[in-house]
Amino acid sequence: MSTDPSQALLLECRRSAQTVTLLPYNAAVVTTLIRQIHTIHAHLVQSLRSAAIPGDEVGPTPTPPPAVMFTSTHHHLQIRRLKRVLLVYHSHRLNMLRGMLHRAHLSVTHLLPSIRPLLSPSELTFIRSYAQISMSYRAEFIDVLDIAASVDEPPKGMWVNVRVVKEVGEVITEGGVVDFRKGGRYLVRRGDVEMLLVQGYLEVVD
Amino acid sequence: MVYLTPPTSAHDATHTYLTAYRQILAHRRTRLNTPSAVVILAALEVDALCACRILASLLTRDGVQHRIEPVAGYPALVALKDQLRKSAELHSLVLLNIGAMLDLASEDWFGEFPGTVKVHVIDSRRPRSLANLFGVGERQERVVVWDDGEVPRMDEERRAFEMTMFEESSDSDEEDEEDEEEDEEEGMEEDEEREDGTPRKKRKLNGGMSKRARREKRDEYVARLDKYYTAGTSYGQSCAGTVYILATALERADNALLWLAILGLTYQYLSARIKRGQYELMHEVFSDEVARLNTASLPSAGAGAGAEGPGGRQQLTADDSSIRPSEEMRFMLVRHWNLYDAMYHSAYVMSRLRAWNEKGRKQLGGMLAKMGFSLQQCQQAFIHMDQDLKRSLRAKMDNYAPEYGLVELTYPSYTRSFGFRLQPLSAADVVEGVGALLEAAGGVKLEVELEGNRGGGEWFGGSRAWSLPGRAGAGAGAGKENQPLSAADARAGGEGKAGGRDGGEGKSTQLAEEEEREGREEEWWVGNFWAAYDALGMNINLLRNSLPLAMALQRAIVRQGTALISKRAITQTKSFRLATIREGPDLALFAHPSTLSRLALWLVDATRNWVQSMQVGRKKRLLPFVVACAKEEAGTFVVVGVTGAEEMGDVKPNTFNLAFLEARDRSGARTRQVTFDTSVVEVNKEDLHKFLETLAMRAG
Repeated sequence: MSTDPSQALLLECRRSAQTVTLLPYNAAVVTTLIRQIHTIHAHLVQSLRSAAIPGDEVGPTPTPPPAVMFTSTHHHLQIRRLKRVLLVYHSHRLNMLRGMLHRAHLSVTHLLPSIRPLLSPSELTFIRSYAQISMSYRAEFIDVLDIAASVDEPPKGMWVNVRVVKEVGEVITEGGVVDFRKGGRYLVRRGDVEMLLVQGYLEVVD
Repeated sequence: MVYLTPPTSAHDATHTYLTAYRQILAHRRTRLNTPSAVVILAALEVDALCACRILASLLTRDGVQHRIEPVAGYPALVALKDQLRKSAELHSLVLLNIGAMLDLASEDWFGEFPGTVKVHVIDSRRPRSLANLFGVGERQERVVVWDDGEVPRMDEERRAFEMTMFEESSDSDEEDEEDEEEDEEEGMEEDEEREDGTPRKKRKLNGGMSKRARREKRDEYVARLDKYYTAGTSYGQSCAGTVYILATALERADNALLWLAILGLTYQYLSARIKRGQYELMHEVFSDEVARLNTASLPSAGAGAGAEGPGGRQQLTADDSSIRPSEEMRFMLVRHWNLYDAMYHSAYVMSRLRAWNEKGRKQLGGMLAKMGFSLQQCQQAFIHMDQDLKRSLRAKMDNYAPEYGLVELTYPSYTRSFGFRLQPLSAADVVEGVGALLEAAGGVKLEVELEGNRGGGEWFGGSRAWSLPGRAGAGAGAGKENQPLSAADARAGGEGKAGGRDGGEGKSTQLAEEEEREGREEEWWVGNFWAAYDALGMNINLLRNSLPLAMALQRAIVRQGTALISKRAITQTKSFRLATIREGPDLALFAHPSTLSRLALWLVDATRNWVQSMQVGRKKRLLPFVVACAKEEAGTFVVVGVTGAEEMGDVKPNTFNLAFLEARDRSGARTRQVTFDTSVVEVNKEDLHKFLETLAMRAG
């Protein structure tokens, strides 16, 4: 089935999982697959209808002839497979999006600009409302625990050496105004720049 | 007018490095402890890099937030200065190997900064602006020069400076007029020649005096100042050494800092900035430090690791990071290359054996044969050479080398162990590696030999383009250390794709790409600086990877140098030798001023004996070398002048700074000084001929 478009979706999933990158939403293939499902479903219904015994006798349904059995089972399996492919594709994307959102400190505004062209409209709605729900959940106990904070690397010290990845400009910290310019390295208090680190403006160097 | 003396004793009441350091620390407990408050500016050279690392580690341990900025040259410094002036928090600015010659307190530099800002100058370059050292006034107070003990010996200059200053203020009318003129002139001139603006001012001012005796006296002073300023560029104590002294005074010296200080010194020696005598003086100081800080490793050193060359074996342990004294041979990276290449690519051997032609190469082979080293062994990677050969290398060299004129083959240096992660490296190895990173980590393409394929011949010899090993994850982007694929790039990429699909917006993508490329060109030296900075820290992988790069760089230099010699592309004028590189595979490489300087130094070294033997009967005088290289994308030539001393290890002050300025003024060529190195200028393509002609006419 080398011409099977569903194969393309699976391949995309696999590539995206291996490279940990989000690929653009493949709307064309998804529509094709849905259309295929509709067509096959129509065939299925038609073949079943043709096999139905006319009249409305109540009684044990007789087994349809083997030819009809075979065609309908085949159609049914085809539909099931395509549905599975679509589900796999979408659940993989959603998982990925959720992961990205968590890495971005649950901040949609920060995450979106970089990935917007990759999303389908419904994914966009999903990510927005997902962020909203998690934010409101987080707000309940933010004073005790910040579930948005990353736990990949526990901080080793109070100070951290950072370099500027994207020009930030002046930032007001606890200590005073810091002018983060590209090209330099800064020794700063970790707490002051935690947010900038997460958002990718700064990067820790050791 | 502040200058600091090295802290000789703990009870020193005068200004020492310690007082200055305490001033930097002053605000660490207050709200003023922000990274904008302490700013370190470092020049792009190994010495400044080492000093920067030492200082940064001291400040980090003291919890002082700070900011480090590499500065490539005057344009960058001016831009940074304008940016810093707006900062309200700034209170300490540290200049590492930058600006000793600038009149820092003047309006052009840091005069307009608020009075609370202190400018600390740690610079090994001489001469220094006397205004910084001896000037008086509120503005001068803020410039603090970290001296290496030279100033107390400069009484004459001091008096001359003070007298001329004093006279200036006594006849104010005249002076005002003159001053205005002077200001105008200076406004027109470029910043770079401020350093000699000062003596000229004095020269002019003495025109209107009436009393003869006074005038004579004054002339004498002016002459004295002139002499000081025009003696040419030389170097004092390395910048890293100065900061290390601070560390010892704080009683915080450890092996890592000591190693950096040693690197700073070695760099100065290897790049022919200081004489052998100066080197040995400092080497003794560091020997004591090494002995003091490496007591644990001494017993094993006594067992035979003591004064060993590269052939010696050392007992290694897993976390051994000690420094050991060693005698280094003047063969480039011998521990990591093969013996033949290491010898062939070192200027020292080149000059003695004249190995740039077939005859010389035979001589090199002959010498190795005499020592009983087969050529096959010598082209083996050094670690895989036969043990007994390695062990006998030193003795054999001592026996046979003098026959070929290879005397003074070694110099005292140090090696440092890196546990099991890397073979012990000598200070020279690290300096070469880090220097190569600074010059060629990004921005130029260099092919390096693949590990293990060395000398594999046509079939198995492999090479690949060197690129910075990407940072884990994010940094892999373009192989550029400082430019990981940021979200902005990703967006640009996304737009690009979209534009491609629509087929209409290709133009905007192109524009964005162009902008990006420009940004990169501007920034590649910043990336290089940080790559080198990381390699000096304990980023062992980067350090290891830098060694092949250093070899490739040296190969390119030797290739270019031998080509210049064998093609007889070197012309001689009355006062210097000139080589111009207009084309070639490595053009982009030599457009880098410090690579070009290295080529010039190599030429001086390589041709030293040859030239001397050519001039039998005549007065043996080694002429300075001027090397020019086309910088295609800018439409300019980079011109480097190097003075040659008669003896290896001797150094003459470099007078090209003034010569270049004079030639520029006379020829009207459009030049600019891009780096802090005074012997490097960039000349517009069209003006090069004129410029060099004028330079040649100037009496040597």
